[in-house]
Amino acid sequence: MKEKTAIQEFVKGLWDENPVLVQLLGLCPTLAVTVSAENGMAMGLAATFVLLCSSFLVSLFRKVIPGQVRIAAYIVIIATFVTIADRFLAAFTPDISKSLGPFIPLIIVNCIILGRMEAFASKNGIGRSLLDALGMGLGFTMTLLVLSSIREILGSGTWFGMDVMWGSFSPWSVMILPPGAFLTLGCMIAGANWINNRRKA
Amino acid sequence: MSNTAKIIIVLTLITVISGAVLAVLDNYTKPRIEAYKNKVKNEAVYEVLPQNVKVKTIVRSVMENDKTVEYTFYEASIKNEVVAYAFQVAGGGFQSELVLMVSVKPDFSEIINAKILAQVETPGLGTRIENDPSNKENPAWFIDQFKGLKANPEITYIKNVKPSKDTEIQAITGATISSAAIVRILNAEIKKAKAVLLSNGVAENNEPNKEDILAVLPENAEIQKIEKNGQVLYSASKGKDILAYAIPAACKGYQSEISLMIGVKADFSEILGVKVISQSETPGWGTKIVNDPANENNPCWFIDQFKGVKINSDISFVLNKKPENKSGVQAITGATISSAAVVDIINTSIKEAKALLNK
Repeated sequence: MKEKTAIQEFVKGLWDENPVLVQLLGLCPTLAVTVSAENGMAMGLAATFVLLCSSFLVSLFRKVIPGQVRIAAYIVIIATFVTIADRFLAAFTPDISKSLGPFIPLIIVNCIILGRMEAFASKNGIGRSLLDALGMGLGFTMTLLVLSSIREILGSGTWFGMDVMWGSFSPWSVMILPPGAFLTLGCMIAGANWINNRRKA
Repeated sequence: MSNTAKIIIVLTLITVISGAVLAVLDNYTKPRIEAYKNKVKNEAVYEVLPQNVKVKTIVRSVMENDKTVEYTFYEASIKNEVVAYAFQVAGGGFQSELVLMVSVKPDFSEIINAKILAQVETPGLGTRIENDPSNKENPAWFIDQFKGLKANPEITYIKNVKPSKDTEIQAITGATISSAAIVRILNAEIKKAKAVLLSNGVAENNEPNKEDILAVLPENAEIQKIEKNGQVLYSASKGKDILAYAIPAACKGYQSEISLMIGVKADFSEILGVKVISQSETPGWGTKIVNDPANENNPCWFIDQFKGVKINSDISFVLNKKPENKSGVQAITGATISSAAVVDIINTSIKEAKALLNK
């Protein structure tokens, strides 16, 4: 395989290796928190923060951490940053923290983050790891934002809490219930596959 | 350096540094998080109380199930005359705990206002108890119904039509369980708060329904209430002989309070019957203690097992098989905690009742 350029390391997470649409990782928080655009955005940014910080540390210490206990070490590092993010959200944006509930602490076991540590940060330098983490994080955030926007607009008739639909629009409650998450995500993955197949052909 | 030593040192270092960072962070964020919680609570207190009142905090400690529980009341007064009490109440809803701040008239006969502090019910359905987008004029219409609602003798709800009585509210279609839960919580907690506040720290037992008492006692017996040391029992007698006792009991199940009525033979040798008066355990799991759809012949097989159980020693429970002796019952797979809580409270209540009657 050809060595990727720095730009390519960043861009790949946005579409070609998008963590949700292509790698199908981190689906649990993706499905659970995307009832409103605000939640989706906050979840994405919190995960990006954890991804960036953990990637930096894991890449920095990749030669020091013994192979046998690497997963344990990654989990401690990830858990530390997740707790930091959780406490900061609770202290400064209590409303978002309340609506995301247990899903912030659950970033610890989000497989996107552990996956990037294992597959990338533990094998690459700091610069590349940070670019990779930023790309993956933004890819995750963008996907959540689109998914949660569709669900909020159709399910509540609002977007970031603002009324966006016409007056007589009756919200489709199913969209903010769990089935709505599966339906929307399924359509988005189908769309991504369709575009990718056409590009290849 | 050997590999083992390296593993230990690296992992120890990572965890120690992580712990230190989090300790510093906790110190920094804790006051803010606490302050926010207090602010939400205080705002709610003032929101449910009439305007321009002086608020005094009253804390009462009550012994409940061998534990001291503190109740906080906010007393609102205008020129030394008490005009309202506000307090926080909580209970199980459809899938989450519902926490409300409620204010009542000083005699606890009427609700002045109620506000939901916390709920994580089903989005779009149960959440309508707080915010119903289908009612454009007033999304909070449901909870606003409690303003000025009479709470005596008890609040009731009605479906699909406008309420006709001054103690009645309309439940939300599609969120009946959450609506009913609020009514249930308010009924129970207002009575309890009244007892705690007005009796100077001694909780009165809520009077159970007559039907619930009769359900666990022999038929056609004469029921008499026995009150001793603040505990209440019911005896069933025919002529001069006492045949049986009914013991009210309540305990914490897996996620809600389970309240029961236990009927025992007068010589405390055997259980006559047990009835679950109220519970809101996890639907489909803990609720199997009263209704297990998997057993088609007898959905309440679990509670029925207690009929005729010998109580010379503690009742024990076994998992996944039939009980071996006359003082054992089978716990429900998937509802072990709720099952164990029921067995536990039956054991303790019977012992307490025995001691109370010197048997």
